[in-house]
Amino acid sequence: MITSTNIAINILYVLVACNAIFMVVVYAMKLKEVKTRRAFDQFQIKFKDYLTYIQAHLHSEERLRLPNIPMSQVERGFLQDWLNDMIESFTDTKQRQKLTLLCEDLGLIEYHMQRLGSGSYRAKVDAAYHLGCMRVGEAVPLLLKMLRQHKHDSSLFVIARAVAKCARDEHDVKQMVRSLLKHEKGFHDLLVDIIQESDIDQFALFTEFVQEEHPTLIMIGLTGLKEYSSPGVASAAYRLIDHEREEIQVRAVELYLNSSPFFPKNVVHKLLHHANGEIRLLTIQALSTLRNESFVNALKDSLQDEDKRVVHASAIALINLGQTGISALCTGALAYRGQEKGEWLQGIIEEEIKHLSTEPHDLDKLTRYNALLYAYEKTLGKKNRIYRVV
Amino acid sequence: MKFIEYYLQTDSWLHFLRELLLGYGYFAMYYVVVITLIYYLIFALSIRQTFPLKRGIQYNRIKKLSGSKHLPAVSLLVPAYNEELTIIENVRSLLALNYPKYEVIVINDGSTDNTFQVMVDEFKLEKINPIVADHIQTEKVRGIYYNPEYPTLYFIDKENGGKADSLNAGINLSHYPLISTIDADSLLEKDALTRIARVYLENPEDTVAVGGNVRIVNSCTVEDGIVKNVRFPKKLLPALQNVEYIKAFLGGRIGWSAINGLIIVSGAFGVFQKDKVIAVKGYRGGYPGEDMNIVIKLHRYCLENKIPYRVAFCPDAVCWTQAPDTYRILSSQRKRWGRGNLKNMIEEGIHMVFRPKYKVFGLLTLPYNILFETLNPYVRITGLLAILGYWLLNMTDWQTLVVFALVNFFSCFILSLGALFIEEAAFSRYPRLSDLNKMLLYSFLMFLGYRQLGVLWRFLGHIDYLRNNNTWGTMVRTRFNK
Repeated sequence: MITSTNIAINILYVLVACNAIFMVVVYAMKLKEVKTRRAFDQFQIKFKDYLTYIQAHLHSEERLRLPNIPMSQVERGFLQDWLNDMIESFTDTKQRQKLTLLCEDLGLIEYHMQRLGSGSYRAKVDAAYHLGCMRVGEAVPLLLKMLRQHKHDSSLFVIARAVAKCARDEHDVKQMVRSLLKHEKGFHDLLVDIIQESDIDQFALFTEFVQEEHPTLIMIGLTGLKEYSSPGVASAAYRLIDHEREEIQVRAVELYLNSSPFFPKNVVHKLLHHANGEIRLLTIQALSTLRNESFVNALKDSLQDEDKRVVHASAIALINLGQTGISALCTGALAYRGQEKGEWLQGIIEEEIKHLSTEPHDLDKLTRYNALLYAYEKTLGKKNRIYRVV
Repeated sequence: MKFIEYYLQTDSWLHFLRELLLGYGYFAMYYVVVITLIYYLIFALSIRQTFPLKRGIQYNRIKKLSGSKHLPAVSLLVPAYNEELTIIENVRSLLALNYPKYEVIVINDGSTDNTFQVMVDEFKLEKINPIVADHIQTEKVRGIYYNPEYPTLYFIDKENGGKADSLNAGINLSHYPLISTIDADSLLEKDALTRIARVYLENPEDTVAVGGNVRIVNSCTVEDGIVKNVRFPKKLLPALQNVEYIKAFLGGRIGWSAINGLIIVSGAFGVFQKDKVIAVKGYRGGYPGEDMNIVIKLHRYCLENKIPYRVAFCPDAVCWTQAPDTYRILSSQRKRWGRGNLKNMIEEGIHMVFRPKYKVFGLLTLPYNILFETLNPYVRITGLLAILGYWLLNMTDWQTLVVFALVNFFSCFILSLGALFIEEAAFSRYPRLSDLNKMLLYSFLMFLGYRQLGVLWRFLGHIDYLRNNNTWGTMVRTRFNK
């Protein structure tokens, strides 16, 4: 027992020492943070005129001058953060370049280039971030080297983003993407977001990716092309509608429907009979937006779909088509009279009638309301009108 | 002669008791050593993760990311039972999040107060008949309400079935592949969803769940559903809970998530892959502790089906919650947690514990949870009785007891310091030096009764479990301050 107590006393000494050290560290961190906050407030006062000068002269032709007040290392860091925010807030490359030139004159680029080549991992990631913000093209080879050796964690994407921002051409971005492919974790959405930070011709790059064999590259291409609308995109997407991977099929259909100027009937037929309910739903939604009466029969046929979401979307699309669509919907609902589905379709129609009746001031909706009510009473045989708009 | 016999018998009884107490002493010592080592391991992992986490927060421009079209769409599920005082502010704050694509689904779980009417009146909601999937069976849904003027808000009115049942009803209506659970008495920070989405986007294939960080809102200034001025709680109980939460979330969950051993994603704020939640048949109803239960089921499902997965934790995604400020409500909450924990261990834990098939979760998380969390009250109570025995039988002296008490105190206090280190290194949400002083003070005060009460509440929770009491207990809501 005496031995145990002695051991416990020794452990106690160690613990007290550890506690004391930890407490000192925590307080030191807090005091440093308080000091940094105060220094930041002072920086804002001291450099107020200079920061205003930068903002005022961003659109002028002359090169931005350096501050005429000597700067400490901490103040230099604050100015760097402020400039980063400014650079990031501009989409126009002219202003960005002007601010980057100022960073160069301030020696920030040189400083971070040196840190990027240093042995400290922490300094390297910090430098990568800052060089990315400043769009320093010369940093790309080192950043790519770092990226290739990096494990899959948050910093990987910080470096990838830095490469995209600094990229001098498509080749740099492609190398960045290929370096990340080895991790294979399905982060194509994040990758597209990163690629969109670059100043290269993104459309060409995404189109190239869509032609690739690698499924992740195809996904990146399809996701990136979502924001473009051209026949070229539609034809590229169409080729992938039957891809072996379901996620690629869905994205390809989505892209095709968004970018195609018209939908051939055979394609619509194919999509509406696709095994994937998501694809059928996307197609119906696209047809609904199109409001083309030539698809009435296709939409009416979709009322027989097994997926309730597809049936609902078809019913709404038919209502949106006007007189012809509404008649088709009521006839379609009549075919299921006495069944659960028929009641449900009837419920959709009644709900729409009720909804439209509350907006008689909108002429388009009033017309649709009257057409729907007429067709409903005629087809589904309701004797009492639900609402009457005068 | 009889006297001698009696003496001998008593002497052998005392000898037996001494032996028993000595044996217990060894057991308790090893128990404490093992639990402390596990604590230190998890804390070391948490501290190790602090700097990568800090880099992730510092170098990812969240403001810019929140405008990205590539963030995944999320359905926010807000179960509400008698939340008439806080529900409007909560929903308004959720509707104003900086996130490109999301919907808010409020589920009124048969409230007996005016929650239903308050929601319908405030947002001018009307009954609709949308398509509702039948992935999971729930209590009867009375109606679904909507107003096109608030296109991202849906309101489900259903029969009372508990929090889990409400979440399941929300899942059935949800339109997006990710679901997020949020308590109706909590406030999400504007960028919390973007921060959690960032973690998800970095590994969407494997990430089945991401937990957010929960902080205490008591004494903070709240304006229009936004926490404007962060202040350390003024009242004793919320202040103690504050340091307890910091220790649990920053000191514990960061470390557990680093080894994919996280057993719980707080019900107050977490994001899940909807298809995986449906695959495990949704939330288990009828009993508290559904937030732990769903995570255990996700671990089990993924490990049994050999699906690569991770349950992540995002400490910079903050949800502010009201901490109970009275003894009655706090004890009720903690008893409920105790019951939920025991139920989960009996229902799920014992089938997975010490089985290599369940990897870190079966070999470390669950043994730790069963031996050092669920059974902890029994060890503590018997430990107290043993100390009494040592003293009565002259097996120890007060100096020894003081030394061991101090060892226990300092070995635990260093963990609180570790949590404060992580807080200051990566987040520093409490700006003033006086806040740090208070945090240290309350970390110390926790040892003077609060921790002991925690053990008692857990024990009483177990008794409630044995009595088959599965009610939610007392919970009183107050308005967020203006």
